[in-house]
Amino acid sequence: MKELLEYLARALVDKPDEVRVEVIEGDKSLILQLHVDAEDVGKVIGKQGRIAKAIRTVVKASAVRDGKKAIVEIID
Amino acid sequence: MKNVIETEGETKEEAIEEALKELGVERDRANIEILEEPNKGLLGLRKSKARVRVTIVDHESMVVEVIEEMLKNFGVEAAIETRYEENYLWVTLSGESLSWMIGHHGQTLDAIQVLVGAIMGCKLKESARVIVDVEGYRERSQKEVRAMAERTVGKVLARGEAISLRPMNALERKLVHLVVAEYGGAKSSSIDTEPNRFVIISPA
Repeated sequence: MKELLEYLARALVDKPDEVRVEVIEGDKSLILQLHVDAEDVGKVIGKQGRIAKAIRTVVKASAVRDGKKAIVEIID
Repeated sequence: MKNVIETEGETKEEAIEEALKELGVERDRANIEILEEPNKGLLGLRKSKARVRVTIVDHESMVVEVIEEMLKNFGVEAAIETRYEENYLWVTLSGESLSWMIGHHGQTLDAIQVLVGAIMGCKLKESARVIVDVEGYRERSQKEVRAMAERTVGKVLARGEAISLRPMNALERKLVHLVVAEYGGAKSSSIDTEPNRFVIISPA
């Protein structure tokens, strides 16, 4: 899941080198903290949170295959 | 096939039309540069034509690359097929156990499409009209939406009162508007904001 989120974020931002994902893994859940450059936060959130919502949906759907509930937090 | 062409015309529009015809593409797949503005001249002197350069934008290979990369990160293998339809690039994925990529009412698929569009937007600095489909899901759902729209227009006309449909994405709403316009006698409008935006059909 980490790689997927990193890929998506890096493809969307101006400063891909600043993208970092930290994972807190539990038995049934997975918290993914996405760090991007302060100037890129808008890019991963999008108008009315459209992009952030899409990222969450896709990561969640992908994690469900491993029987996990994924939560994506965006941090600048 | 040629990718780039320079043409002349009395007006810019004329030159662009000519170039698009030569290249055989729609305007939204082309990058247009104005090389020279037309000059009407004075009393027939210094008259010059408009000159433009039109280049085909190859969205297709870029979109396929983005999707291949995404599939790799999903850890799935799928066959990718592309085609142009009504100015949209359709990308259809097929393979084993891809149904999770569709999700409830196509939610996951819509999200994947939003991300592909956004990533392409970053690469191109302009929006790309891409539709991502898995195992013909969108094609089937379009048929259903069309049938639902037709049934509903029939009801609206019979009862003389407005009926609202379930929330739909932009593409589905567009299809409903199209069906209503074809049918005649009724009008349609979109209400509320995404993701709850829906169409209401009422007597004209």
